[in-house]
Amino acid sequence: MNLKDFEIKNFIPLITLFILVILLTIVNPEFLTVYNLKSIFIQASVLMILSTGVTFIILTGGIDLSIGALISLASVLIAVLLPNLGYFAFFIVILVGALAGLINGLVITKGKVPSFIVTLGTSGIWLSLAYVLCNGKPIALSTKYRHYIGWMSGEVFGIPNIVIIALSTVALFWFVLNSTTFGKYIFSIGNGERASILSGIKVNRIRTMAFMLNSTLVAFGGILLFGRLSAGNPNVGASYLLPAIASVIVGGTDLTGGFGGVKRSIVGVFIITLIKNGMNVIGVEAFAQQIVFGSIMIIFAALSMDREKIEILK
Amino acid sequence: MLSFDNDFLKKLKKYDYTFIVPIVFLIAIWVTIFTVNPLFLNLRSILSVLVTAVPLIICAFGVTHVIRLGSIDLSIEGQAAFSAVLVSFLLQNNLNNFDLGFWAVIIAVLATTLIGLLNGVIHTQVKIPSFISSFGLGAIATGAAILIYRGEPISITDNGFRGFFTNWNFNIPNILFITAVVFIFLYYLQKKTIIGTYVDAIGGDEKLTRLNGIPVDKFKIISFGIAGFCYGIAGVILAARLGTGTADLSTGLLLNSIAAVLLGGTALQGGNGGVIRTLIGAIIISSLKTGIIVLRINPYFQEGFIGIVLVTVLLLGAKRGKLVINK
Repeated sequence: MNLKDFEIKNFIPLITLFILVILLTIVNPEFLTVYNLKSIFIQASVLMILSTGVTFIILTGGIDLSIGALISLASVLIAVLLPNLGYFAFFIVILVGALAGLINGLVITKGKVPSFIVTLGTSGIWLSLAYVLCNGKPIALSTKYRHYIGWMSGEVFGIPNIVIIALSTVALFWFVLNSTTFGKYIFSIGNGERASILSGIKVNRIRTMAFMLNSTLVAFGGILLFGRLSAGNPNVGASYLLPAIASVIVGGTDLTGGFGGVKRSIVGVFIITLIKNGMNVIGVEAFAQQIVFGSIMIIFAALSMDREKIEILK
Repeated sequence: MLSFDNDFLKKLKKYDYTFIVPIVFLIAIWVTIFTVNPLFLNLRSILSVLVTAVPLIICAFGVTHVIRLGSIDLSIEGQAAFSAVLVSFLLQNNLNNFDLGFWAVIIAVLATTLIGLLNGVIHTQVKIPSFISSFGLGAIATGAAILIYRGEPISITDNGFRGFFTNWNFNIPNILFITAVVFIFLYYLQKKTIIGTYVDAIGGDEKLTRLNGIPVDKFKIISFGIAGFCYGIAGVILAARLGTGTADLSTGLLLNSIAAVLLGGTALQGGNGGVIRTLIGAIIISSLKTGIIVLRINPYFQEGFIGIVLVTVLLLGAKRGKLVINK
């Protein structure tokens, strides 16, 4: 543990989460019941998977604005394929996710263009495909195929399957980030791309892999969302883009890359989920959520950014 | 003879193809449209394509200055939606008793100008990259827009207001005059004022500009303000055209506007380009969409097609950039 970890600003996300829990317990006496906590974990599960992926991207100093569109595409694609292909459909959707990430990564690294502009462009493409696939209308999964998504909706020892799936995915990628060479390269690229190139790291390949990893997780998130709703909906993804990016930034991962991690993003996910939950309890309209998420994202981005690393800000 | 050849080749190499290629592309699109459907070959249908493109053209004008700085503005949709909803809220409508007439337009445009300025202030003073400040602020503006009407669309009953934006005079739609005024204003800013000069300087080399004692932050904030002003006008036009104010009126404007700027040949790294190029880029985008309809391709492909065009432009422009490290 180096000195940087002891800086007070690194504990702001945890403190925020703690204060939120206390506030919510005061406002809502039923907050700390098993039933309520269970529903909060279920609410947070898809977001946990998304923000785990986005963490890898932001750690390299990039951003992915196409995740919302890709969730929509994944959820529609699985709805179209599942009745025809059965369990094989999940595999196809995951593969499509990886392919989408590959396209993002290749255009970013070969074209030498910032990730936000490329992913803005590809988000248009994914969303279009989603709309074309379902002709603009949500596709409900007919009851005779419901057994295919049973693995997402059950419970084991009182813990919902979706929560177990989400937590084990997070644990797996926490391990990938912290204990593999790939993870070390991710941090290295975020800390200094030029130095990483000079020390022989295949920066372009690692960045492309990071985008593939993220998009694969996003496609998986789309599948889980489909499982929760039992329907593929092209409009469903848009509402996940801001929370996914906000939770990574609120968790304290540095926007310029190189500092942060999966654990922080999970703290961020729970901050976002609890704020959402709290706003419902107090009776603030759901419309106001975007205002709150946008504001806290800007505030936390300002708090956690290491400004010594970049000379000019664009 | 050889020297002539060399000179000619040099001239060819020096020539800025980023200006001529979009025009050729535009002509190709229209030749295709006319070939497939000769009925399009009249002034009225060409004008109507232009009219459809107006909100896009004006938003793209706004973001041009920001991109010339080397920055980006992702709050286009949010700001345009906020302006559209605010103007319908303040005009004579079915929900409340406000009837501010043209004051509503002024307030809405002023409001987005302030949001734009705020965007610049957050970016330069709080010191976070413009893509994240504008992403956050765009979400806030969208949220504010939805909060104003709480999910219930506002119908504008002020026919004078709608007429002003939708009528034709001298066989030309009114909003084309408005667009021309905005264009001339922005072109003047870009070519004849220090704002334009310094915006180019900042986009070209921000460090050097700062070292020369130019108040970089001030000009950045002004540029974001001008952008907000444009989104405000675009939002008002959207509301006037449809007669209702909702937050999803502006859907697609972000991708389309940025694609229009880059397609026109303004470089993402900043320092060059301008509103004339953006005008051409925006007309190309709008013509492409018309082309998709004329060719009877599924209209849901429109946005995806624009996305493909944007990605292609980014790949083609790869060698032109000065950006070595990209984030």
